[in-house]
Amino acid sequence: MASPAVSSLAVCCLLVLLEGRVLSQALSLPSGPAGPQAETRDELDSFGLILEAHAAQASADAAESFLKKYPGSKFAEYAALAAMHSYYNLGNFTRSSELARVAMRIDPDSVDALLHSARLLIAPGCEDSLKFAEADSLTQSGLIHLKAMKLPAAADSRAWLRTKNSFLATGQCVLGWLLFREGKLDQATKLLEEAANLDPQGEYFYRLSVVHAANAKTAEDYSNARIWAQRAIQSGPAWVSAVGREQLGKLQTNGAQ
Amino acid sequence: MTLLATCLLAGNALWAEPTSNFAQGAALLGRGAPFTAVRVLRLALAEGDSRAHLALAQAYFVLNQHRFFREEIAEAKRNQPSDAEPYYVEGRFLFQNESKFDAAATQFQKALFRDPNHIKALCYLGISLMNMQEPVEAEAHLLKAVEQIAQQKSSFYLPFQTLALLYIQQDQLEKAAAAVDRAVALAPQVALNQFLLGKIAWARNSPAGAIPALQAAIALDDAFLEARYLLARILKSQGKTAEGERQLAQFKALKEIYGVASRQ
Repeated sequence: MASPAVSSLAVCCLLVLLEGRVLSQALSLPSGPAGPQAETRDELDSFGLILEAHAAQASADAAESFLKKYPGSKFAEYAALAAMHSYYNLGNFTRSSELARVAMRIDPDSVDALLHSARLLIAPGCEDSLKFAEADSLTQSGLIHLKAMKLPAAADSRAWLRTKNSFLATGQCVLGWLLFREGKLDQATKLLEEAANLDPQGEYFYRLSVVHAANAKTAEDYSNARIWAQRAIQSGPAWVSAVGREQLGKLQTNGAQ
Repeated sequence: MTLLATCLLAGNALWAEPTSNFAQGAALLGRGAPFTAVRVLRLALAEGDSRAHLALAQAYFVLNQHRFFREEIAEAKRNQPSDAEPYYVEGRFLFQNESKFDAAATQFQKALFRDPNHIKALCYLGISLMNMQEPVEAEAHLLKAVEQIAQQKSSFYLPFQTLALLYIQQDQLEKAAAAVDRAVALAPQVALNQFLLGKIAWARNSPAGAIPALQAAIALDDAFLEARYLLARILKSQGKTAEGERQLAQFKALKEIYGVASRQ
C-alpha cells in the first residue's frame, strides 16, 4: 500500500508535497498574509500529524480526526484533500468522493478536488454515461484552473513541475478513458500514454492494458497489454494490483497469444 | 531542508546539546520537518528551556503562522535582550512574509546595535534599503557586510549578489562584474548568480561570457524564463538562429507549463 509521507515543505509552506510510492500528490498552501492561519497551536499540531503520517490509513485517520475537531479551520480544505487522496490509495472511493466534495465546498475551484472527482467517476466498475459526462465537465474545469496556476515565487521549480504534471496526468487519464468508452481507441491510447509519462502510476498502466487489449490485433499487441498489466500489478496500490491481476488473468484465459 | 530553514538555523547547532529536546527540535526544523519540530520544541519549553522560543519562532516563520511567530519572537527577545538573533529573525519575517521593508529595516538596525558585525543583518538591511529606494545607504551596508565576510571568512554570497543588482541598476557595469564574480565564486550553484554573470557579460558586449553563464542558470533552474529569453536573444544576435529559435520555443513552452507570470 502506498504510504504518503511528507517529502518537502517549501519555503513559507508554499507547496506541501505528499509523495507515496504509488500516488504522488501535492497540497498548495497560499503563502504570505493570505496563508491559512491556525487559531490554536493544538490545531496546527493536529494538522501537522496529517502531513507527517507515514501510511495512507494513518493520514486518513489523522485528517478525519482533524476535520471532526476543527470543522471551521482554515486548514480544513487541505486536510480534506489529504484524506481524499489517502482514501483513494486505500481503494475507498466512496469516502474519497465525500472528502473531495468537502474540499470543493470550501474552494469550488480546487484543481486537485475537481480532477480527483472526475477520476472517481471513471473508477473501475463505473459505466454510467451520465457520470462520464460529469467527469468530462469536471476535468475541463480542473484543466482550465490548472492553466491559470502560477509558479509561486519561492517554490522549487522541479517540485512545482512534478505537481503540475501529476494534475495534468489525472486530466489526461480521465479524458483518455472517456475516449476509450466512445470507441476511439487510438486517441485514448495516446492520452493514457501521456498520463503515464507525466506521472507513472499503476492506475494509468492498468487502463493502458485494458485499452491495448481492446485494440489488439496481433500477438505483439496482446503482449503489450500483458506488460502494462504487469506494471500495474507491480506499481500498486493494492486495489490497482488487484484489478491488474484480474486483467492479466483475462488476457491469459482468453488465450491471447 | 528548505532555504529559509537553512538560513535561519545557521547558528543554532552551535548552542544546542545533541540530546536535549531543544537540540532535537532545532535539528528537525533544519531537516525540513517543522510540524514535528514545533511539537518537540514545545516540550523543551515545558522543561523550562527558554532558548526554544527563538527556534519555535523560526518554525512558525517557516509554517507562515503569523500570530504564533509574533508571540514566540517577543518571548525570545524578553529572554535574551542582548541577543541580536531574535531581532534579525523578526526583520526577516517582516521583510519576507509581509514585505514591510521599513519595519524590517528597524529590526535589522536593532540587531546591529547588539552585534554590529552581524553579516546577515547588514545584508538584509541593505536589501531593505534598496527596496525603500535608498541606494546610497543600501550600498554602504552591503559593503560593510562584504568587509565582515572577509574578516569572518564567511561564504555568504548574498551581499555580492545584491551589490551586483544595485550596480546594474546604476549602470556601473565594472563594479557589477566584480561583485557578481565574487557571488559566483562563493555560490556557483545559485541560478541568479549565473544569470547576473551572463546579463552583465552581455551588457559588456561579451556574448562568449554570457552564453555559458546563462546556460548554467537554466541548468540550475528550469523555470528561469528570463535566462532562457536572454539566451535566445543573444544566440540569435550571434547568427546562431536555429539554436536561438530552439531556446525561444522552449521559453514559450515552459512559460505555458510554469504559468504566465512565472518568476524570473
